[in-house]
Amino acid sequence: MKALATGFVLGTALLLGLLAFSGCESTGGGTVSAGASYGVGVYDPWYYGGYYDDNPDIIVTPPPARPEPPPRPTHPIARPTPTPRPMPSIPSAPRASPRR
Amino acid sequence: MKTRLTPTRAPGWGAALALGLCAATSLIGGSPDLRVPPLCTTGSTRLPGKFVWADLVTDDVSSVRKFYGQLFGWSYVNAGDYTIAKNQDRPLCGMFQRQRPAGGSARPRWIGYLSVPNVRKAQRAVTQAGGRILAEAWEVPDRGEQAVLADPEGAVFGILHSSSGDPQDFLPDPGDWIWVQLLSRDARQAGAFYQSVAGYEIVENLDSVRPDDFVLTSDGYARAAVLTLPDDKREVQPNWLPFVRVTSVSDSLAKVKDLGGRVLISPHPKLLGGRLAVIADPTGAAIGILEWSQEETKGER
Repeated sequence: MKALATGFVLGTALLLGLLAFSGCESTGGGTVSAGASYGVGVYDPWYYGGYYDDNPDIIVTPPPARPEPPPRPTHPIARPTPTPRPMPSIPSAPRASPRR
Repeated sequence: MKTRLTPTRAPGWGAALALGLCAATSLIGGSPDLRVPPLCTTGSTRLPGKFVWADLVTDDVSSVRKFYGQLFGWSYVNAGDYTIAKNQDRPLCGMFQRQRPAGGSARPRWIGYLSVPNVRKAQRAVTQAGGRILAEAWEVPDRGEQAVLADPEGAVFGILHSSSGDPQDFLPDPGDWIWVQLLSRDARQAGAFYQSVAGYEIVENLDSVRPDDFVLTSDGYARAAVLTLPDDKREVQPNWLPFVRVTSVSDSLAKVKDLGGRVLISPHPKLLGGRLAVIADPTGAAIGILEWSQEETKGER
C-alpha cells in the first residue's frame, strides 16, 4: 500500500513539474519542435505583396559612404571652415585575425 | 482492458506516466540538438539598434542551404528542425521550413532581429507606438530573449536581447550581414517608430536620389536605411531587406542563376557604382548583396 501511494505521489509530482516547465514551450500550440520553440508557427511568417522584381524603379539604398576628412587649414592661425555634421557610415575597423 | 483513473489503479498508471513525462521532458527542453549556439563570445558589449540576427522562413531549407552555402560560403549546424548558418564559424542566421500557404501569393522571406536592451520593454514600446506583437517574448536557451513584431505598416521584424552580447562593430567580412533597409509608405513616421523601440538617432539621407529617405544610426554608426515607397508602388508591402557583403557582385550574380536563384534588381551605376544588387534564392526569398571596400569613402570608386 505504501509503495502504491509513493508511486502515485511521484507520478503526480512529475506531471506538475512538466506542466510548469513546458509552459514557455506551449505558445506554438502544436508539436514540440525547435521551430515552435523559436516562435515561428505562432504567427504567419510569409510575405504577401508586390516584390522587387515587379518594380522597374530602383528602391534600394546602400550604406552611406564614410565622409572625407575635413581639409586642413593652410595657415597656422587659420580657423577651419565649419563643416556640417557628417553622415555616419557602417563600421570600418577590420576584425582582428585569430591567432594561430 | 480499460483503465479507470482511481487511486487503486494510480500506482501502475503513475509509473507509466513518470516514464512518459521523463521522455517528454527530455524532448522539450533537454535534448542537446535543440539548443542554438550563443550569438557571440560571452561578455561582448551590447549594441542596441544593431541588426544582429536574421531568420529565413522558406518551404525548402535543403535547397536554400545549398544555395547560400555555395554563394556565400556559409556552413550549417542543425538544432532540431531549425538550421543555423555560420560564416567563418560565427553564427549568422537561422532557417525554418514551413509549408507554403496555398494561393500563390505567399513568399519566403528573411526576418531581421535588432538588438534591444530589454525585450519586454521594447515590446511595450512597439504596442504603444502602434505596432503589433506577433510572437510574444520568449527565452531561447543560450541565445537570450526575443520576440517577433510588426510595425504600424505591417513590416515584420524581430527584437533580441542576446545573453552573450552582440557581434561587435567591425567591418563585416564577405558572407556577413552588412546592411539592412526598410521599405515604408512614410519613412519619417517609420523612423520615429523604430526610434521609440530601439533608441535610434535618425538622420536624413542626403545621398539618396529620392526625398524622404532616412538612416537609422546608433553608437555613431549607420544601422539601417528607411526608404519611402513611391506612391505608384502601393502593391509593395512595407518590409525589411537584409544585405550580405560579397567580394564581387558580378561574380556572385554569375553564380546565382547557376544555383537556381534569380536577379531581382540588377547592378545600376547610381547604386554604389554598380556594386549592389538584389537577388532571390531558389524558393523566392529576396536578399541584397553588396560589394564594399574597406576604404569606402564619399567620392571614391
